[in-house]
Amino acid sequence: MRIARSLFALRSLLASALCVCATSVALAQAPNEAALAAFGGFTGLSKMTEDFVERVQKNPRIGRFFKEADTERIQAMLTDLFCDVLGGGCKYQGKSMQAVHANMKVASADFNVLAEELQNALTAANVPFADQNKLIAKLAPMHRDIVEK
Amino acid sequence: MTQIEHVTTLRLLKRISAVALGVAGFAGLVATAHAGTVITVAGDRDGLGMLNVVISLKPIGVAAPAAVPAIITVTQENLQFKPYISVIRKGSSVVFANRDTVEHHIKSFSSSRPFEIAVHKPGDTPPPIRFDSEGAIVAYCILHDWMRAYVYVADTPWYGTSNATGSVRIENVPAGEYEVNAWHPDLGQFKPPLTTKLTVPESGIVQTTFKFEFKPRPIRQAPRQSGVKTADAHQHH
Ligand code: HEM
Repeated sequence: MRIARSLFALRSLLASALCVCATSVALAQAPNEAALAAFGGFTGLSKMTEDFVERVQKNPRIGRFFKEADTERIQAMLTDLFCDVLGGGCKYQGKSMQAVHANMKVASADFNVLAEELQNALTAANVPFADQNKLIAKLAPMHRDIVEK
Repeated sequence: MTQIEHVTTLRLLKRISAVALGVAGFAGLVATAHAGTVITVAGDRDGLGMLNVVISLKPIGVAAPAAVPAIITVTQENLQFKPYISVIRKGSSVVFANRDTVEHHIKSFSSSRPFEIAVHKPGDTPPPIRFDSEGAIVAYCILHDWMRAYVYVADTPWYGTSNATGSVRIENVPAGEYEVNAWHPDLGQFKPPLTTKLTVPESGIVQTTFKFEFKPRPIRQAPRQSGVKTADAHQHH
């Protein structure tokens, strides 16, 4: 069992050593922590986003949208996106906002409720208002891709 | 330990394993004198057994034995990560190998060890990624939203992952005081694992139960239709 395991380890090592593929492993985000300082760094931003997603899911007005949603993935993708738009050094590579929210029939009012919950989560995370507004300002233009015309 | 003692212990353990179910960590490979067996059962809000609960035992007041770094492989096969959940010892590494017929793009946002394996082709075996911090890592595929892999990094050789009945059985745990942690993917990145303390006896079994306050969400599966190449719309904003 022991031997089998180390042989296996050796094999994987060899496999990776011999691999001439172009695949690269990189840090997903080289977070520019300074840009995220007001949000508690990347970890703080990620925690705030988890709280935000939970608030949205519990919200009586828009919670229904998220009933079947993969909130774990939303949390991860949103953190990446927030970090990106705040200049935190991340690069959001997920689907476009239009593609994600197509056919959901999100109304303007729904968008506003979500924005309120974001402010609640930011306030609970002690993010100063000026920095809250900075994030909200970056997200506001996404309205046109998310809300049903 | 004499040969005879060893055989008796083994026989005893075999008999016990007939009674309880569970997947033991690698620590079970080495029989230890004055060691007991820990059995844990994890249930959800409604008391139903919970699958994929990672149990780890950390000795209190004594250092865990030195780690032997290992390299494990998590493949992408049939548009899923395999295994769905792995437990490794701190300092060990994971190779995310593409054994699929399509490309994948892996990204993990965990604060302790973010990493990315940009679009890689079928058959690619990227270099191992080493994990030096305790805790859970979640790997996503940017191209296929349902794909998810968990790697739990434990700072102990005594761990296991629950089967569908929620039970884990960890053998050959040296007698002493332990902190027992129970973690499930649905806790997310920041909620702490459930934790309790127990005393492992010089021989025999000690049992404990965990109750999570939620119902686990269903594990997402690849869509049924064949020929899924990439996710529907993969665009950069
Ligand atoms: C500026 C505002 C918004 C941003 C930045 C945003 C961003 C995102 C992101 C990044 C995802 C995850 C995409 C993925 O899994 O790849 C997502 C998913 C989702 N969003 Fe939004 N969103 C916004 C507004 C809204 C609103 C107003 C609603 C509805 C009330 C909504 C409903 C959803 C739902 C239901 C999902 C889950 C889709 C799924 O699981 O397939 N979003 N959003």
